[in-house]
Amino acid sequence: MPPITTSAVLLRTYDYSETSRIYRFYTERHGLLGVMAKGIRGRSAKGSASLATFVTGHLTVYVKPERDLHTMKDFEVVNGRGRMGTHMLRFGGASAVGEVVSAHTDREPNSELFETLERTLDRLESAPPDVLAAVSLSSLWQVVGALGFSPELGVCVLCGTALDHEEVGRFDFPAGGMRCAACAADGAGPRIGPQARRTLGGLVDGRDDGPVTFARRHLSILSDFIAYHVASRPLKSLQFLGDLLPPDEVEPS
Amino acid sequence: MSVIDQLSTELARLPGIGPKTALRLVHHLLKGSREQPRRLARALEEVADRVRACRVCGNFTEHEECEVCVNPRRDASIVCVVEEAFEVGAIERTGQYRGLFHVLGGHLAPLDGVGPNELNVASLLGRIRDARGGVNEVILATNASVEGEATAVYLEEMIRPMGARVSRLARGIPVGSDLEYVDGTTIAEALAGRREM
Repeated sequence: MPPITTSAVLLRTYDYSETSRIYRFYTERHGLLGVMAKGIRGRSAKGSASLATFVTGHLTVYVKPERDLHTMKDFEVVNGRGRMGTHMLRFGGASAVGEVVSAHTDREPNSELFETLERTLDRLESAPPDVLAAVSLSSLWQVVGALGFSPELGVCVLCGTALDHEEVGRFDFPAGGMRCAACAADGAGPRIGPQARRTLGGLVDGRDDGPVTFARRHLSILSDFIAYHVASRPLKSLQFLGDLLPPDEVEPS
Repeated sequence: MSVIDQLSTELARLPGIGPKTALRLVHHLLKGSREQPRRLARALEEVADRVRACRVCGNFTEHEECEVCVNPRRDASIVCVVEEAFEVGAIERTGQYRGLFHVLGGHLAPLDGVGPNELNVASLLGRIRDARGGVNEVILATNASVEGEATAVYLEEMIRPMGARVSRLARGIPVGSDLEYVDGTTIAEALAGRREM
């Protein structure tokens, strides 16, 4: 079978034997791909230095149908994203984005997800340090949205009533969004006030140009939402990211 | 399970050894003298019983402290931080470094749940603090990967307020290689880290 070439983002690397590596890419045309690169760890292996986590490039690979692991022929870097390790929040946010994409069980190609992954990684790489918490949370919400799981924030997920701007409701994780004040009475999710809902809406829509207050609380909502709808297992990188976020000073209303 | 299968299963757990190679190794041991597998078994037991982590730097040693840490001729004002113990040997083989080492035991890996608490970071910071200004420089020799870079950035943030100079290994073109064959990322790193002649 002839090799195929597709745009791909490297999400994870595993050493395999003394000389080889297994790479996990998210690709534009084939979704998640596990790829074996034989001899890549050798001293003279061409291109091994370019294959750093979060790099985007043109991946040429021999795809074997019905197999989980394919064979890499070549990888040509388009965007090296060499600054991803220069700040802990940049690294933590990008790792979490990568794990959410990897953990999703749907293996079909999703061009919107690929484009969102590219855009959010670029944003994480270039964002100034003071907005990295917001950019990390926003990036994760956008990836979750591209996977088809945006939360409903404007209309009650139970009764369908539009929420008032000043209404205090509850986030209903199984139902995937906000309950209005009336329906929130017998709910179990966290209470969300008007300010918190506006911030959440901004993060979901990708408005991340300012520092976010109660970042840990927002990550907790995001983590629970991901646990309900996206991933079938706990994501370790979200815990890692949580430890990097500034502590919430007071309990939000 | 037969003892042959048992041994080949254990050998196949080692890096770089697949099931076929493991079985070949078992047959090699059985074809030779009976003393050879016994010697191997004794050596493995000795390693398991006697080798431990140096209580100062985390390098492998048969004693409380490794031979680098107890050597009075080493320069105690410089500490080189590496990810894994076998990287100590790689730096030692250069013959160019006379300072001490500290082995982290890996790098930050959010997807594997490896944060600063899972690495030998607290012992490194304690070492620098206890030296009371005796450590002038910490060389961060973590790998030139995103994960290695992030680990170095984290350590730099922790160490710099303690007053020690923090440096990072240079990155660039391998000795003896042709520029034509070096990838763009490496050339960019080499350009960024160029030095005046």
